[in-house]
Amino acid sequence: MATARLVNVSKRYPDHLAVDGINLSVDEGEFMVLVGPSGCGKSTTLRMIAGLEHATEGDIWIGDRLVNRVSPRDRDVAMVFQSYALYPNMNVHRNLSYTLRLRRLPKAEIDLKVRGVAESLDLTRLLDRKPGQLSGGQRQRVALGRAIIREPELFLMDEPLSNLDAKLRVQTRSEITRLQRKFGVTTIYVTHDQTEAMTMGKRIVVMNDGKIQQIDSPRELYRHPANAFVAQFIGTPPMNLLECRLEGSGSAKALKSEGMNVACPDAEANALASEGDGFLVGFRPEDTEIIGGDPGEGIYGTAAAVEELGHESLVTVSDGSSQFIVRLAPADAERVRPGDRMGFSVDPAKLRFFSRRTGEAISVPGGSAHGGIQKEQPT
Amino acid sequence: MSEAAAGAPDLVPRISAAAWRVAAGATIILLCFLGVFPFYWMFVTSIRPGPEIFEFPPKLLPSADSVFSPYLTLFQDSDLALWIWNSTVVSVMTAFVASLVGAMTAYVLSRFRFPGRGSSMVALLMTQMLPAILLALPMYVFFSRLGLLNSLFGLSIAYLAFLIPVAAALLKAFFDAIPIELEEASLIDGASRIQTIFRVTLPLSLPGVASTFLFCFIISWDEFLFARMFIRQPENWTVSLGLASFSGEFVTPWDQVMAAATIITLPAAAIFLALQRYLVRGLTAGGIKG
Repeated sequence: MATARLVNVSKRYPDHLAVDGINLSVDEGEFMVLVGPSGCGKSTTLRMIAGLEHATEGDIWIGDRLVNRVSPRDRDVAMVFQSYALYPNMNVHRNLSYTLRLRRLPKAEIDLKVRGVAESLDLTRLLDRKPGQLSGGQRQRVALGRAIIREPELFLMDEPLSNLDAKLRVQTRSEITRLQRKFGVTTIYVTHDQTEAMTMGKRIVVMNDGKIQQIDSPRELYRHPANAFVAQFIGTPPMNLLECRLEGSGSAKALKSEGMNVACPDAEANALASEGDGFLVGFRPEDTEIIGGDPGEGIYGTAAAVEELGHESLVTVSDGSSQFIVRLAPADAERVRPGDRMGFSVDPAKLRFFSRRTGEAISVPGGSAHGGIQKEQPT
Repeated sequence: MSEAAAGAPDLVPRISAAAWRVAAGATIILLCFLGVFPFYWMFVTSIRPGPEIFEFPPKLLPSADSVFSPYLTLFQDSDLALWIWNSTVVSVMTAFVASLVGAMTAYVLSRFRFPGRGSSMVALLMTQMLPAILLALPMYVFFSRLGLLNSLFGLSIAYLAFLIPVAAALLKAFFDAIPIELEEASLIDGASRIQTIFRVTLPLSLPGVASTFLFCFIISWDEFLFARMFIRQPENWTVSLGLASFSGEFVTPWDQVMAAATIITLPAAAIFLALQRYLVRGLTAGGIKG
């Protein structure tokens, strides 16, 4: 087990900057997830840690070793690829034992280890099969076994579940979490699926455009996003963001827009007042309650669509210039018809505010939105 | 009546499927016949008594008084065994070196990005655009100055000059088809680049290496132009030169020509049979989800 640290790491290709000066510290035994949309630089970051790409700038540390110039074979990391990357010319036994054979371990020891790993992953009866004779889930388990068997300092996983069907993905998700806890190996896991990230990661790194947007626990990311991108990337459906302005004076300040009239929380008033040309107010779809359709204090609009999900319903509401989504109990949603006027109250403590210019959070209760970003220097 | 009516919709697709199978089978048999018939004709002509060879209409089946004397004559009166040996030396040497050097070139072009990579690939293709006869004269002068004329080694070098680029281009396509993740997985698993090539890349590209070897072997085995220009002494003749030597000004012993042709086809066929299991593609199936 080891820590992993990235200090001001960048990766520049001739035509674009893939990773832009990121700082990241992964603790010993931690399960850290890198999440972000396609092309955000998360896989490139992982490949730089593995040694498959060279960092253009910055330092990569595994434990107390600076590994910038260390070849992949000497970094003592194991990687699970999105495509599994099993050697098709070798059977499962030889796939699992490949790394041990390269290290010239005694045959008896290799066999013992292979059988141990195969047993823990339920692969024993498949040891003689070639990858082409395995199902997707079985191949995935072989790929995991190949990583586990070498007992590395660091596990790297590059979207290992994205080729599995939905049911198998949920099963394998908990299997990977169980294995990581069992072996206690520091793990960096890349995914574009925020549900996967939220359910698996102790801490999550949200990336976009080659930059780290926020590093935090799943709960904090959800409750206190550091910027509008994180607010909209984390959560399904995403956080609603509506443009509004501050009106009124003294203690009677209100958040106003075409369909909104909400009392401004006192704690936020000063910070919001300095935004001048307006800002974005954010709230989660489940943080609303239906009030009548008559204009008053609250957020108002016209129901545009109702999506039944069985255990809940999502109602898309249009307030003229923009749209937002609210989550309703099925009994409440049953009465809603497209075109109905609707009004909602929102708990002021759950409102989040973002600058319209930069997208950054204006004020975050608890103050942890940026606190997670680590810029440690190696010692 | 009603049963027949109910069965009719099923019957139509079944008939058309059967007709399709019959048509496909007939086409395959026809293509096989077209491929095999020249060899059959070559063999039948070689064992036909002299006067029968020019009979019209020709007989498709060998006659009862077929003779194998042309084969005996060949081995007793000509240097066929020597020509076959010379051709084997040249072809195996050429095919081996072309496959090896071609594989190294192809690997570099397939896996590494470097300035001039694109133009290198264009240059490989450009070498194939020049007609062989255009190269023959300057190469003759060049080889003559280096003392490489009349030598099997020299002939092999001449073949390598135009076979290495072909081998590299062929093998590059095979290496490109091997997912790079397999090599990356091997590097992370603790292998060096060379170990990765020998343990992962080459085993997976065996079909490519085998077909490249076979291609180079057959080209070298059959080649006539360069052999004619570069080899003068009969003891260094290859099979194509030996075969051509049967053509006389007044008489050509067609039974012997065909017997020799039958014999010199055998080594190429043997190599093909030996390599055919590697020629079957699909060895990489299942390694990568896709």
